[in-house]
Amino acid sequence: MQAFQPTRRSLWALLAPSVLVYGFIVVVPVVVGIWFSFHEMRNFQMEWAGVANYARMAGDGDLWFVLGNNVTITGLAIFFQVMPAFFIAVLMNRKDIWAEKFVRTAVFLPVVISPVVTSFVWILVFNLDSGLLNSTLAVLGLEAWQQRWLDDPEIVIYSLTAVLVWQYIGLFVVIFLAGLSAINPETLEAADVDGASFFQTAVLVVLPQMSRTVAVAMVLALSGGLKIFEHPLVMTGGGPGLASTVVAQFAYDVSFRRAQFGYGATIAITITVLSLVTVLACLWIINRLTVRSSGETDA
Amino acid sequence: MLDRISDLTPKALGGAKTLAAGLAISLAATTASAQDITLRFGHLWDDASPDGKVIAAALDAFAAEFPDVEVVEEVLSHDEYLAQFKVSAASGALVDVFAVNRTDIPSAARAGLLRDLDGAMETNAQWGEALTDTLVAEGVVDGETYAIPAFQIVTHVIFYNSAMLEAAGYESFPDTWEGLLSLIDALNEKDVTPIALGNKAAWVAADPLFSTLANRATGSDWYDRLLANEAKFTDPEFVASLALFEQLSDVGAFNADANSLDNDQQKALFLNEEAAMFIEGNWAIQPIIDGASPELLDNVGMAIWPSVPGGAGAPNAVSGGSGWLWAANADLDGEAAAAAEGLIAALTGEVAGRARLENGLMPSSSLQSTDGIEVPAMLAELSNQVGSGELTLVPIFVLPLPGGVFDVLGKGLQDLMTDSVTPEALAEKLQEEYERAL
Repeated sequence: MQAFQPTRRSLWALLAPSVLVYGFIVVVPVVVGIWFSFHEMRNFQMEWAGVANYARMAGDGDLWFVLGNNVTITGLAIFFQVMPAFFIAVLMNRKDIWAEKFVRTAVFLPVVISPVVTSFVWILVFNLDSGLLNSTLAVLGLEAWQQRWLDDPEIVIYSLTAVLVWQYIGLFVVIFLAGLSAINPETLEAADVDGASFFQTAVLVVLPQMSRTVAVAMVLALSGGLKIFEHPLVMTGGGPGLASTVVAQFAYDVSFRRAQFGYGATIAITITVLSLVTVLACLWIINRLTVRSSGETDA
Repeated sequence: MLDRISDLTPKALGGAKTLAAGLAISLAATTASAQDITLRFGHLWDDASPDGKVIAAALDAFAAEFPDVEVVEEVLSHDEYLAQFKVSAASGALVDVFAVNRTDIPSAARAGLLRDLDGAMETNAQWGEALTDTLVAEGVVDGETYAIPAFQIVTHVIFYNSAMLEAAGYESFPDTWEGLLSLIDALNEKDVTPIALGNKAAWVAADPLFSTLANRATGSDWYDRLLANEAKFTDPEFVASLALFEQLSDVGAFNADANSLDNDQQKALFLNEEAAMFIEGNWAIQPIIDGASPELLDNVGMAIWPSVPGGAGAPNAVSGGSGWLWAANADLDGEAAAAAEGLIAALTGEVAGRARLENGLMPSSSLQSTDGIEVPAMLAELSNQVGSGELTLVPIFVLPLPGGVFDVLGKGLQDLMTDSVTPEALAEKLQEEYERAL
């Protein structure tokens, strides 16, 4: 039987459907978004605005405030998702862990639930008077720790981040478990024989062999934090004020509540570029570190 | 847009079996003028809502008068509809007949998207005679009528539990601002939430609470000058209105979780007798009747903000109007345009008006007869007060203003409640947003 020899024409024919779909749902909206960003809507008609939207953005304190919210969420998510997930994965990788399958399922389950559903559940947890959290604190005699979890502008962003960590930590655990399966088991056995503690094994033996997996996890956490939208929208509507508003919701509100499609597009395009640059910069730094660390190992 | 199916001929059915073709021919012959026009009809009230029931009654009346016209409803939720309308308007893809928010009318009319209804106003007795001038004005842009008020609402009513007020030492609702602040203190001392507020979506504070409060402080003249760009948000009288709202929050008028609850939850706090008052529009009357215990229902009273110190506004002014209006696509012509105007007439006509009263809502126009309709006592009282002039309707503060001002005010009032902004700084932000849209 003769093997299929693709010609240039057949390759294009095979690629065409996916290229068309990609172009329609990614390239076209981005190009239209860029075109919008140089216009502003007046009476539902686009008028040329030059770089006015970009100039407005530079001086828009609200935008930089909500971008700060994204940075806070992203930073905390990386710290509290990726790092604990790594140790949980190393722990779960031990064959002697109790009810291993149950624990894996329990940790991963929130990942597959819709953010809207989990947000509604957590609204009930954070409810001021009858919420699970404040009620539990009351039962434990810790009334002084009770908070207005979703109403205090100083706290609300951390409440939202806690929900994100809870929901997506399972994803990182699974990623790390997959990475762990590729590790040479002899190194773990050797560490065990040498009497290394759990922490020493995780940090000194496992981590150096999983730097690429860690890099993937951090980039996922980074992009997840930058594009967050559903949780604040459902749980707080972005409030009080802008205390829990994130960039995606800010762009949405500007476009669809204020009918300023041009400025909304400007924000969206800028954030897309910023996200891209940040993720690429992270990848570059991690690659450099990985190369250096593997070079040192080789030496 | 319109879909014509009059081209349904045997040729179009080529290849079909004889029997089917014959049936099609006979159908085509009988329906050449029947079901000829399809109107796409967009709005935001589902079948189960009181407004949805009114629309269903209006569509039945329309179907009886226009049997040739098929109406296809396209219903979205409130926020989705507001967003979708803006997208459709911007892309020139509005449906044939639709609900339009007051705030979008000037832009849509000036963009040439709305059908001029002046001619229809002259020929339709229902609109010409039964609608009040104040309501009609909401659909007028540059002297032309582009939309017909869908209903009349009063957006500010303080519903209070008179038993709780009595327990706090108040036989009646205070008629001064100082008296109201004292009442709030007295209720707080009794561990009762004075005013239940569910302001997560930011419109509850911005409209039912603030629209009338702003008028108390600024008066209607200042507001008219603001609309004419002769006054500014940074004027002392408007800053004073923001300070009054901030004062309410500072003295503990609201529940501590006011910005994470919605308006259904604020009603629930009142109905569960955990709060002495809540503030919404007349649309809250029916839920109170449906949800209150008989004892509570006997104790529910209605009031409005008292006059405020140094305020220029009339003490009997309440925010209200229509807010949502019916309009038609400017691209319609001929029979389709007539049908669209007929549909709007049905939506604002006698049948719809009676259905509104039956569902505990206020119609936009006066009715020829209310015989046989059992109007809830609270709604009748409110309607009579508005009708007799005991209460004077003033515009819903944010609706004639650009959408950005509504958004900034809604978020800003939340910020005032958490001391994240000062009244002066918020006023400047509002002025900046307003000037951007001018």
